[in-house]
Amino acid sequence: MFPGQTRWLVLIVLSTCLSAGCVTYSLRQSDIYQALNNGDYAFALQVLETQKAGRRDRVLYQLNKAMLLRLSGDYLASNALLEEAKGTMQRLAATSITENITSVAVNEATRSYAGQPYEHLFLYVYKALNYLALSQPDSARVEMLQADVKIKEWLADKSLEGVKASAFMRYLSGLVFEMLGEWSDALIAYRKAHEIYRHNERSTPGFLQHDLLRLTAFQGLQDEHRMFQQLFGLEDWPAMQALQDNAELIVVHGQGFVSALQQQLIYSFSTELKHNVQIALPHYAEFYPSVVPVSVGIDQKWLQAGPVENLEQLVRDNLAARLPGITLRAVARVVVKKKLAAEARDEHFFAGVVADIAGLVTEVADTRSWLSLPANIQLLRVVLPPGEYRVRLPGHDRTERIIHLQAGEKKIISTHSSSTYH
Amino acid sequence: MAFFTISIRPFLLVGLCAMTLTACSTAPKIDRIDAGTTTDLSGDWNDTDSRLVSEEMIQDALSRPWLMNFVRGNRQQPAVIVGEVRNLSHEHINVNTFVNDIERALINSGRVQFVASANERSEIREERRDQDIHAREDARNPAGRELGADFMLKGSINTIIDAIAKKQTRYYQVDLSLISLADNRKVWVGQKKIKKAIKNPQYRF
Repeated sequence: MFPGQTRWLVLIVLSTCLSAGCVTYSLRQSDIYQALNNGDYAFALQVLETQKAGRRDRVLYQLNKAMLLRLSGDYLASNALLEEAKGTMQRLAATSITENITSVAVNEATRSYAGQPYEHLFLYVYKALNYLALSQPDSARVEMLQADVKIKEWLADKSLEGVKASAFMRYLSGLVFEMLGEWSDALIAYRKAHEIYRHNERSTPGFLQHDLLRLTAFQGLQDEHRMFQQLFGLEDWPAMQALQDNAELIVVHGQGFVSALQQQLIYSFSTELKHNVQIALPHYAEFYPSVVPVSVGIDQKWLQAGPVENLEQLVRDNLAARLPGITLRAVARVVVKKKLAAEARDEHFFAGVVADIAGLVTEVADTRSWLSLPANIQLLRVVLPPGEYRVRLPGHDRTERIIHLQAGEKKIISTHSSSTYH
Repeated sequence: MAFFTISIRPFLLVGLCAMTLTACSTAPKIDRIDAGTTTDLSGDWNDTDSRLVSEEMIQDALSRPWLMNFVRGNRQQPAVIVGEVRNLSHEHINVNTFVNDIERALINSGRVQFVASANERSEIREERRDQDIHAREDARNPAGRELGADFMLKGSINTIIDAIAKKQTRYYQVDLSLISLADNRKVWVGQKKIKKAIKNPQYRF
């Protein structure tokens, strides 16, 4: 019985190896990643468009292209692609029987990439930011509500590994609700953002402290207001009336790009084979650029933005949460490959050698991730009297814009800089 | 040489597996439901929802006493205009389609007069200005003869979504109100609810 099966499995493994290319995703995307970090988004888009969007990596193609279009200012096209990516991710959320079988025999990169939980969240975030750039806060609101539903879906999904929360996603929800005058929903979103910062043992940004104090006071939640006042040690913050009489300028700045996953070959003990086996795991390089505070020039003043999301840390935490599962599956896979090779060798020496080589060559780490996400996001929220302002935005060309602000208006501007500029 | 000998058995096995796995459909399983229980097609708000809700709500609006009271007091049919219907749902709903469905249901009822929306009016006024210059005098439509609306229909589409893993319950609530332009009185408030249970597939081929 075994010889027949082995023969076919060896052929399947070999053919899959040939089709998979046996090269890691991050290696295949190195040109794009380098162009991104050099701030050459047009070239990165050009390279991406010359690549064939494979079925397994389609989501990443859509996400990266959407991000590059956004960086080029084409928000409509970016959102069309993000919507496509959302549909693809939804379809791929169902477990594929054939892909799971192949991933056990070959490697995890043979599965269609359905996106990490944080990538799902940032899809909604960037779609919302695109809608805000297009002056469509109602549509941005829809994205934020969908992100909330997605988080609810994950609550009961114990099989889902990785980070499933984003403080910035919650903060942006609050901002959108505030823009639409939905104070109660805004406060709920701000509370959730504050809870995520606390949970991650990070300090709550100053602007969020102001928001919580302002909205609890406005809604007459005296106990909660006192609690926040004691917690933050603040005596002064912009009151609701001040915001309605004045305008707000909100600059959301993405800095650099998250690190690319790399492949690492390590030895792990197999209880089944009773010896060490070599497995390929994804990992991040130890060193990465730290957060460089950015500032925004408003007329004669320079104001410093505050960190609102450290995506570099988030992707690393996400990998750390997934790594035990990845390691277990990798060891199990190598055991299967070794056993198949032994069975093949029993039948035919040449078949055994081929199976062994195929097993080694196909042991490739799944290094797929959304590479065009910023390494960190910083935010500046400032109250200004209505009028015209000369604003110098962060970014590699220090773009200067003349901005008109009306009373009660909240103007959100998104900017980005590659890692070498700030 | 023996290693590459092909037998028919593996092909049969692969064929059988493929047939079995094809049975695991990847299409979402959706049930159309009543406000009390559950049912539907794709799960999202669609043309059927838009048409059914608009027809039912307008029928309800036209059967209420405000219409008779207005006709009795003014000896003419009321003129209605559709104002903003806000999408407060979790979906990108094309509100224009819904507004068009409401307009169609109102006009076809023959019981109220209908006034063009603000966007349509500005286009018509532009055309009238153009007629002033270019049209023959006997064919010209002068300004200042527009019919003013007596009531404005406004509303919102809201959703409440309860989701867990692959299951979702979507509750849509459409609220419409008819407001008198003379004194801001709300003469009619209508509400239509739809509830859908959506189950996304666990497996795909």
